[in-house]
Amino acid sequence: MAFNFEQEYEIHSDRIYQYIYFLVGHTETAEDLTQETFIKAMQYSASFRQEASAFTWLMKIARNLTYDYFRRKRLIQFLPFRKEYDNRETVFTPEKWLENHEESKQLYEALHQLKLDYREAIVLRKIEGFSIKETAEILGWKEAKVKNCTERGMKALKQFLLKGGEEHES
Amino acid sequence: MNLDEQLKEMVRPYRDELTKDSSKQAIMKKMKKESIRNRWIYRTVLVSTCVIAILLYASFFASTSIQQDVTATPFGNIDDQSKIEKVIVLENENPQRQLNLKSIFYPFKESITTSEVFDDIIPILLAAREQAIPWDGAFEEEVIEDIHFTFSNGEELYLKQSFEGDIPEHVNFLYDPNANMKYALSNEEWRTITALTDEIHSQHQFTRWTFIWKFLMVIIVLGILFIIEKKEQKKFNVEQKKKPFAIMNTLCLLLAIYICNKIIHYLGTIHFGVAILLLISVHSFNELINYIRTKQPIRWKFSSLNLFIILIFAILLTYF
Repeated sequence: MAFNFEQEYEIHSDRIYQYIYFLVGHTETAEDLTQETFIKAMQYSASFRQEASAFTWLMKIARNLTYDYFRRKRLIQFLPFRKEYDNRETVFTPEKWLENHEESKQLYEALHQLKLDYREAIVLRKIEGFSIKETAEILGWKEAKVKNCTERGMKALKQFLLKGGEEHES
Repeated sequence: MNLDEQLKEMVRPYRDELTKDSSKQAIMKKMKKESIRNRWIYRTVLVSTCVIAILLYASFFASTSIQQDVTATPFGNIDDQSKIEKVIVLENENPQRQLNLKSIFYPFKESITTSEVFDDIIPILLAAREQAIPWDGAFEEEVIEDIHFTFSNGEELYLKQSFEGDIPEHVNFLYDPNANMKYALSNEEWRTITALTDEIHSQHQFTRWTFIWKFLMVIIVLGILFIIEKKEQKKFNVEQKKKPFAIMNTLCLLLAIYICNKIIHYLGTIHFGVAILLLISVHSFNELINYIRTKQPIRWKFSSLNLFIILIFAILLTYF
């Protein structure tokens, strides 16, 4: 069965966009990477094995592109002539739609202080609700690593939330 | 509410229908642009590869041989004061062909710049110039040895060495293909020439360390290629090549070996440039067949990277 762009886009684009947003914390970048995900999916549709669902496959592509994006960003930041390169995404800046949701705002902030591995595991396991097996498939990890990162990530997240709450109160 | 529930109920960013639709249109526009671009890149690369390949093939074939100069002094423009500076030898499976032994593309040529027998060679060449007889250009042997001399006076001399007649009474000859002359070597002279070629061969013998170095290189390169292939597959869940592809790859490889063999027979020896061009041609042909069968875009970057690694490996393996 061929990859039907229109259909897959209607069904999955929102969740792909949200997943990328959880990782990068910036709407424009999330939008760009979502578009890139679907372009890559169409280019490589003939090689889609259909062992996993189309959604899992799309998530995997999205994850790889996001990873590439982080890698590119890290590389650019090393270049001296680009020192002033857009630093807006190194620290999470809450967007307008988050202003009235204090609890979610704190969660986003705490989530963006986590190591990328922990953030990825929590987003997929706890927010997107994927099983350990599916998460391992998307991230290309072993199931044990998924369990480990989720567990450690949750502990770290709790600590960040606690610290954030104290700062907020003081 | 515990953290798990809080995470599940986090406010998510939503795009309105207009943004979603314009994003969809943008993807389709990009896709269309991309496919047109890919088609043009594909055509341009294909045409330019063919043109470059034809030009390179032509230049390689031209550089493999040297032009016959009938006005050349038989057995070199030298005197008894001349010194030999360098000698290059190469086994030639096509005796009629004059090989340009100075070309860097012959991996199996061997050379020497100092030897005790250098001084004994000059009298042989001077005697050959005096006593050489006309030669019709024919050889009795199928494999002969080509020898190239460079002298201190800047002169160069290209000779061939073989024998004629049945084994018990055969006579060893030195042939000057440029002047169409040959000289029958005495037993003493032949031993001197053999001593020189033996010395050159012994200096280029395959030692145990060379073998270990080459074996290690094969393992390293195979490992690198395997890792790159796995990484590429993992990145976009690319399907592993199935049986028909394996058969196709094997057929391409066999075809390459067959053509390579024919070319060696024609050229008289292995020509590195031609072998590499053949490898690139077979690889491109294979990619093209895969593209026609699967309609998957050709992974130029991946393909070029693989070819580049193989090329570096071939250079290291051949010349070091």
